[in-house]
Amino acid sequence: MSRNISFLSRSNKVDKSMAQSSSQTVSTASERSGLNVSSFINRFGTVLALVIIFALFTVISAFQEGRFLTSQNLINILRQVATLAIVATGLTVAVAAGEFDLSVGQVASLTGILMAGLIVRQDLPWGISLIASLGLGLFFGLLTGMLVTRFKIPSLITTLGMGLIAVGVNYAYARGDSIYGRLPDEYTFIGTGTIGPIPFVVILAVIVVTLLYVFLNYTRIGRYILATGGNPTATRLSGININRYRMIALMISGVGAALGGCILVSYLGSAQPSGADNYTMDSLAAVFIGMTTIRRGQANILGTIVGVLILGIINNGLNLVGAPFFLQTIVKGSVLILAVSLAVRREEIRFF
Amino acid sequence: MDTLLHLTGVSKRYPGVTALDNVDFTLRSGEVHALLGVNGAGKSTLVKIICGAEPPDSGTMKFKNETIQVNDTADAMRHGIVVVYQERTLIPHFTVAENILLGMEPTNGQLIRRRELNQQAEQLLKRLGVDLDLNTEILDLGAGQQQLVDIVRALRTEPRVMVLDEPTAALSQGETKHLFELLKQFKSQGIGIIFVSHRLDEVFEISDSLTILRDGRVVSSGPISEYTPARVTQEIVGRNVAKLETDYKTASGPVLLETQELASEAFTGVNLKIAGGEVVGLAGVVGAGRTELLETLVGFRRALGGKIMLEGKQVQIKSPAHAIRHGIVLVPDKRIEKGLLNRMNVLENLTVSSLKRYSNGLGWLQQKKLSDVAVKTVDQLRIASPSLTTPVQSLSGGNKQKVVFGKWLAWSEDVKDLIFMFDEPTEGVDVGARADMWVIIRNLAAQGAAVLVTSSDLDELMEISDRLYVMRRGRIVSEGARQNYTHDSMLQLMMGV
Repeated sequence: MSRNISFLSRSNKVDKSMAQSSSQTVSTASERSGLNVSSFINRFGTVLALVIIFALFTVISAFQEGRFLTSQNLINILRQVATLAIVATGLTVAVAAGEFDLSVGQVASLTGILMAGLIVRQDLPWGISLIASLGLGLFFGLLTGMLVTRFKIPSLITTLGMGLIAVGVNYAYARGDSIYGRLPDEYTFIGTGTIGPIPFVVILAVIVVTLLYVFLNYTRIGRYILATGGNPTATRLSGININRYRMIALMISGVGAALGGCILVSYLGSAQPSGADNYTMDSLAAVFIGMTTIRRGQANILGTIVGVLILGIINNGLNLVGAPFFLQTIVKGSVLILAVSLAVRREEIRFF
Repeated sequence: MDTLLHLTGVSKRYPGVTALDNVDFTLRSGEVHALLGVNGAGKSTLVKIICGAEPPDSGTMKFKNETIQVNDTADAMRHGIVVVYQERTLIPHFTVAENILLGMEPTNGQLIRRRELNQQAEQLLKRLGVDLDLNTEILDLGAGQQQLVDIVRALRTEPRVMVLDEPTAALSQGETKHLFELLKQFKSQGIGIIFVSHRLDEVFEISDSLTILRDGRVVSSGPISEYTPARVTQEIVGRNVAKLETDYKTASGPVLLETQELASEAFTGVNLKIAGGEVVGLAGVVGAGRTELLETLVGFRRALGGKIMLEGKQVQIKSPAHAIRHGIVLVPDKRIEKGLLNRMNVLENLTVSSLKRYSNGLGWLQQKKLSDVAVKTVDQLRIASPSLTTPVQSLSGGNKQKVVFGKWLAWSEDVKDLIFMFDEPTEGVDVGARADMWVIIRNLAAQGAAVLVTSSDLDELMEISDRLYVMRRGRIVSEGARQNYTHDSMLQLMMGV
């Protein structure tokens, strides 16, 4: 480096003893060493909860028929959560930028309907239909982003509106009916196919989640998104066009939702007009549970995956042990509230 | 004067750190007792123990010779001890009267008796000699008046001990003067006041005695008459603070930044010239338009008229990103709100403005280069941080301030011909960090940068500036070399008296 500026360290204008009295030396780039136990539990308590829930179902089902802890069921769980993982990871990027997206479920339903409709009614090749459907998700994200940045409408409200609009467009296109018909095998392979014992959709989810993780944590745009979510004013004064990154984040959320909708249709073999609506609440729950762990107080992808797995295991486990269906949502809601309240009590985490 | 509050042998340990070590503290009735120390010296822990927010590990507290136990703030209040925090605790859409009597409203069953509420509030104001309009909503008041409402609310229970935590941080000179008048009145009513402040001039103006904490111990305590500012500074930091040894010169380099009749909602007709190699101070009371001017120059706010010229060429500055490409950067005031990525670490904060340089064509961050430049910056600015991955929120105020500036040091290859603007560079930082910031600012100029500094602290501007502008109500009212001004002449220009 050619820089040779003398500031405090090399300045001879300041008493040298200051170096000893006021500054500890800085250990270089690498990690803080030695996590103590309580900070470990604080940081990974939610992960621990995941393990405990898993163990609980293993024990309970062992007294019944022992169907929980089988490789078949574990693969099942992964298949069941894969789609949600994709949608929730996209949403995580939006929340990391400081934006909400309450429209992911409705956008997923709409793109699913469009996907099936383009194939069955318009006879388009599935590849083109997929591109068009993902484009629709991108468009929803873009429109939301423009409304949020240009007209300064909070994304919470904008996406609530966009979600309702998506429902309306959905019903206008499908007239409220499900869309059935022959879907190409290549397309249904996405949702139902396997590679060896592993469902393709799980592999797809791992790829998408990994890509977004790397994107958010190792690229410039990702860092800007995190900075924007952390403190928009400071980020803007640091010379960063925050509106661009809010838009990008909302577009990623839109595409994630669209991909989720397309996968769901591929799995079911047909499109239901409100088939993916649940994704809004489930993915928000996963993101919030995720905010209690790994990077605490911040939406982060690994945390979201922990959240997705907790929700998935609760669903699957309660099913297997024969709990009534309504218990699933009650337990999921309680786990969300419990995880967040513990995190807020242990440390002063502010979510928003 | 009789003793109001007497603490003996108070200690408090947190995991890994001794916050207070065998501290004795005495407050007499009718005195203003300044509590001094760098950030982390134990001032806020002591305050927390006095007001019951934290229990001490050992030690006793006596109120008028009676040993008391304060387990929470309600307990403290019952013993007549109240705190006015630095942050406001008011409800914006409630009126002054409603805020003053919040939680103590006169009621008729469940209905609030409005007329009585206003009467009670009025009586309280009259007794305290405070002039405020009872029916104004808080959000229509300035910072100084909001603070008055907080103080009046604290005094509604007729306390004997009042703790003021950095009470003047957000106040203009005039408001500070007014506050001090009031404090004198409270003193005469026998109230003991604990005054926590970083501003030594104010401490010497208002206090009767002082206590200096360092590393959790009382290093010095006594009547103010036994101290000089130099001695206090030395005891606070525990060493001699170097005086700036600078050759103050009149503009040396080429004019880098010039404005012609620049106007916005907050100021009009501003003509400024800043050359490379000089530090220009901008003085003015709070609300004079200083922050707005700086934020307009950096494109954070919109200009309504006039020209901004850089090295003689007119430019339109549309956003901070745009300003930075032209080489103008701002180190803003209110670092928590405007300067720091609070949830991110030291490295991420220091490099956020230079990611373009330290990422490849695909936008992939080059971690090694990032940590190299961060290490270098931490070293150059002597930022005291356990590591680069330490969350920036856990640093002290002075180190936070250095991080906010550090991102521009990491960003600039060479500071020559760049324009650096500082808004309240030493707000709420300790004396040591304050001296560091001054050296940093002078060094920028010494290396050919143009520096514009605005501050509410006149001593600071007099200390570091080569040239001064004085702003009043959105206009530049005076300009000249530093030696043409005195503290008093500046004040007169600022206030327009």
